Amino acid sequence: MTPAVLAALVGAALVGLGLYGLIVHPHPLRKLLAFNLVGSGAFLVFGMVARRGAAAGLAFDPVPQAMVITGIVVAFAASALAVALVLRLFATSGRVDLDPRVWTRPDDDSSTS
Amino acid sequence: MIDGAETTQGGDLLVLAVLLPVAGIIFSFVLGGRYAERVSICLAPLGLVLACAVAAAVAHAGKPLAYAIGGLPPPLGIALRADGISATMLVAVAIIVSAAFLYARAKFDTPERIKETRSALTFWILLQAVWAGLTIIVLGGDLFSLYVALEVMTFAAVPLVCIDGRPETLVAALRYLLFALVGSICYLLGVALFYGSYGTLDIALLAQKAGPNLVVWVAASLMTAGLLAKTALFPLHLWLPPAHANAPAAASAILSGLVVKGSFFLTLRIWFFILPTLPAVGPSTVLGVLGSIAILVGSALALRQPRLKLLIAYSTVAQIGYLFLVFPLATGAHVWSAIGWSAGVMQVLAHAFAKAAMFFSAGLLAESLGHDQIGRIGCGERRGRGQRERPRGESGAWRGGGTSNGRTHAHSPGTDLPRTTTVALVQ
Repeated sequence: MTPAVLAALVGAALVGLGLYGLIVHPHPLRKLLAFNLVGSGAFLVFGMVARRGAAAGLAFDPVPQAMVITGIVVAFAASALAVALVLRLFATSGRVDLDPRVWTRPDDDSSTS
Repeated sequence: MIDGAETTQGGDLLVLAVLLPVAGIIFSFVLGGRYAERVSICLAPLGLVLACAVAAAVAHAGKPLAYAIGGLPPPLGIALRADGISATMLVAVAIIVSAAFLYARAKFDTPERIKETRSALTFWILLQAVWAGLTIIVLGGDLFSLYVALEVMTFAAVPLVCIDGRPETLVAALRYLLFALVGSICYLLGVALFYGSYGTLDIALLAQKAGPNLVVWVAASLMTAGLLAKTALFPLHLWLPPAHANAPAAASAILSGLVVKGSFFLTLRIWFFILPTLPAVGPSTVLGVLGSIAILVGSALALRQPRLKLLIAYSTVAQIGYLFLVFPLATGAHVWSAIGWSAGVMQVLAHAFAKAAMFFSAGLLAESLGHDQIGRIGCGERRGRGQRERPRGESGAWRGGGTSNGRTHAHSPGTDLPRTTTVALVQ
């Protein structure tokens, strides 16, 4: 097993772990961390694709690397947006809960306190 | 004049169509404040004219328009393409976006005497960003550009949901964002696998190269699963109703009528344009079954909703099910495939226009009554107006302080609607 294959398998494992975390953890911050784990796995796979798909004469294929950079920027922006939403949610309601049943009842007491 | 091998006659129109909304975003940022609205209102008709010009050029040429960016044809550069379905979608997007801009002026306009507000500025910029994302999605000819466009659209759509700043809208936006992030990362993984196998992401080149092998199946499944999360097909629809029902009416119309179509359009691109040679009976059956369940579940849940906007949002879940029926109907080379394809495109357009109109009407109704509880719309209307009408400045919306009385956000011009209008809207 070459190091490249090993790294790609690790990437796939990270994707799997992250998806598991996304599904089982109810808290949005944990879901966000799990999403970042999935993202890391995908970027690692991209890195290995850059190595495998290298055209003749080049050590690396630069196109997937450019894509990974874009992907990292997007994932970073997404995480920032999600954290901002979580913070705002905590500031306005005093709790962070994604369960829709909590929010369907009109509960003016909690929002005024 | 750019001399690209792939650029066809009229390809410049595609660049203009993409540049227009993006320029609008930049101008709105630079000019700021009350100018964002004016920039949007000025650009929307131009966008409509441009979309019609693209459609006319495609119809006239009888083949897809293409533009190789930077004069580099696809294996090296990336291309914009407009075929029949892109041109149709482009016109539909331009019409609905223009209508939404005009409609939103009632709530988010900033005339000289009124203080500029943050929510209005954000609203106009985000709406233009959704427009830009959708334009790139229908014109993009490269899977990675499509990923970027999808993200632009999502990141603009999520804050539109919570522009009120109420806690329940924030929860809806957060759930929407989390579903969308999973979807986009699955899509990106599929893109990596495609690139690893074939060394290109151009749709036309992939269509020539891609064959039925394991990597293609895995990549297509990952991308489809990701796009389903963004389109809100049945088991992944949970985020949609609260998100679409809590946004301002103009934004709801765009989200429900167009944004879910963006990811659906990419699903069509993958299965009908990149992988038409795949024996896709299995996947299209799965998609058709999920669509059928979505129709039943979405319609049943829609009938049980207490709020009008929630009812319309659940109806979107059902209509998305109808959209996915195009897969079993149009896959393969049957006598009915062409009709099935036309019916699918027809359903996309019909739902886009009808749902936008529904949300516009529901928004008017909610503004004039001060609520959108279905049970109280008919008989208890007068009582409801007396109790609930509490006009409030827009400026508090983003501070999030007004949650206790901001639940029923009444708008004073809307309350002048004559009673006959509201009755007509109910019927």
